[in-house]
Amino acid sequence: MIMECTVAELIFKYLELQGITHIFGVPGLTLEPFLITARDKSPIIPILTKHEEGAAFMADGYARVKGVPGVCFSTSGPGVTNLISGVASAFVDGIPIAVFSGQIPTYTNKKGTLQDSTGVGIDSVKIFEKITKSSAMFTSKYAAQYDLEQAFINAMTGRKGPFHLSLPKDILMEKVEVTLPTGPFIPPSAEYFDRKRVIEATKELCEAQCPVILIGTGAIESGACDDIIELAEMYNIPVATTPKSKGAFPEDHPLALGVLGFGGSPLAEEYIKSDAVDVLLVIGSSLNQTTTFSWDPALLPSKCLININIDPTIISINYHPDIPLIGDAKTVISEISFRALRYLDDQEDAIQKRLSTFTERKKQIPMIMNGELMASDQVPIMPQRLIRDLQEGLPDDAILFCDVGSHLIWALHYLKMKKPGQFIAPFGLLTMGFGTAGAVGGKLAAPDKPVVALVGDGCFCMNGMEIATAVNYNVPVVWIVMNNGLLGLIHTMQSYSIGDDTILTRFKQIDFAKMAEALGAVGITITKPGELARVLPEAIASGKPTVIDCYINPVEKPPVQSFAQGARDYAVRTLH
Amino acid sequence: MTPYDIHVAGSTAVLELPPRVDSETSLHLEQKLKEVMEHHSTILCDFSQNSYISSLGLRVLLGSSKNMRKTGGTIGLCALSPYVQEIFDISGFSKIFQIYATETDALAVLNQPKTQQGEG
Repeated sequence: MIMECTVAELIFKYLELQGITHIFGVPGLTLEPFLITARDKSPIIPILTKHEEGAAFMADGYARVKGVPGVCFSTSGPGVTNLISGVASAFVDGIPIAVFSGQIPTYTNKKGTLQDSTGVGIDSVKIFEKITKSSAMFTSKYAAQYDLEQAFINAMTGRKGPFHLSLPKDILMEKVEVTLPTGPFIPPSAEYFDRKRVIEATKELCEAQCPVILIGTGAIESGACDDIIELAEMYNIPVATTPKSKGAFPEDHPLALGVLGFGGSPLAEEYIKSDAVDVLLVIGSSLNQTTTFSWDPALLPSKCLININIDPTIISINYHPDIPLIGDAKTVISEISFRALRYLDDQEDAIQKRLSTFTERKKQIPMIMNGELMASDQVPIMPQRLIRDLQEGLPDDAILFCDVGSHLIWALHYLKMKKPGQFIAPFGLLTMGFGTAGAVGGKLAAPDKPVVALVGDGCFCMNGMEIATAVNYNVPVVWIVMNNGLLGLIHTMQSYSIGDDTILTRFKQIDFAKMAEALGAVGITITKPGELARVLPEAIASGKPTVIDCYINPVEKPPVQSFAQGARDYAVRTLH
Repeated sequence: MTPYDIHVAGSTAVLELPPRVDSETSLHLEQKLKEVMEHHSTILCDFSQNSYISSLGLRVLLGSSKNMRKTGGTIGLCALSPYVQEIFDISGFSKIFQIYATETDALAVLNQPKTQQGEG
């Protein structure tokens, strides 16, 4: 249907078609037509954040939970520069977000106009070029629909990521005739694969003595996790996940190895590094440093590395697979599974034996270190115990956002997640402050699910003011702050080289419960083991934004020894 | 859980499969087949409403077929869509199962006395 509307209205109509319900940002003069449309002409709710970085994180959290692009907006000039870390974080993690920035009217270009972002002041298009899949400025009302749709399609296909559009104020107000699509853009499924290589891969996997599967986020993105469980169960193949895809394979499953890499499971590390593994099937992972202990060659199987990835530029970047399989994980795994059925009869005895051997191995090597500390009654609370309390109080359908620091490692190591997409952290850029704000977007994307953020006190200092955003719109996120007056992860990593007298890692502890109350949220202080397990369900049930400030033992160091050792070994291998 | 439409035609129990047999519905199918196998030695799985079967679903069919054979029973399949037929071809299962174009075709064979089936 042909309709006449302003360019600003076109944007909102298009976003509405995609199922977007909320957008996040901070207003400014150049965005006025955009904001007027939001208020008067669209059911989409604009959320005023306290800082543009928070807006970008919220858009990211929204996108990860809802599966459609999140949207953030800012005015020109400093609004643009404030967005950078949030947008860059989404870019590195492959999260589709739409970034709309205001721009001075075209008739004031090149005059040094207030907050010019066309290049006389800053150049917002160029700034975003390196941290988005596409960055452009509307140059004509006639091309606006094309620019918008192309940016959107680009963001949502292949490896996903953000796009940026700079919106000159006068173009936003211009009227144009458009024909809108009738429904949301649904990325076409990539059903291509190399049949010959699938046949080879299936044979290698099915005839392997000791195969292992490693799941990365590409598997989650393509919705392949159930298919992987079927394949693993068919052949009794142990399965590990990358840190970023924690929960993609249920961590309480008899075949679960846990997380491989940063803060991960000793069982996963020892099993996959062992000489016994002859075939390793990697699904949707770039095998980067956080997963591979800095590209440890010991992870290579003795016979065959099979790597499935949709992105041909990534598939061989870190390890050279014997069988590279370009394609969508779900499509390729389904094909392998169907072909694997042919080998079932021949392999029946080996499959049964494998399960009993693995079960025995699992009894000998734990998935966690110092498990006894999870039962500790010490005060201040041991971090391991706090994670156990979190596990007990966390509902099965909860979504957990995690920020970046030692709390991330505690959670990676000790928490057991059972569903893909349930554990969300910004592993790509490891951006502090993400979880604090991102959870607000996540909760707006899934109002019926409990959304909890596990954050450190260092991270909370960066974006904690976004509690006030949640209060402003009554978004009932529960933040759990691991409070130790320390940048714990930096402290731990520094301590490996310079001892415990670390540099710029300590600060005076902050009373976050009081801070929460001052911002209008509920603030609860926890000092004893066991309290969190009781308080967390109550906080979720209250339906109010709540900060649970947990005082933990600052001396305990998170389990990152293997990661640190991997980095040292890599330096030795590389530098001689 | 998807209800299964079951009816008996001659000596054959006809089980209509749901639109999707995947990781969520396969175990239910397994249970249903077990129940039907207790009372019937010939089962026809009608795929006319089915557009997808996962590898787990195929394993359930394979396991049930093996159990049936041990007791002298048979499982036949009918009305597979071209896509589902392709899945059976890829997995090699089209060589394991008797597959018929329609329910009528299937019943014409399955309801014959066993000796005649063998001759056919």
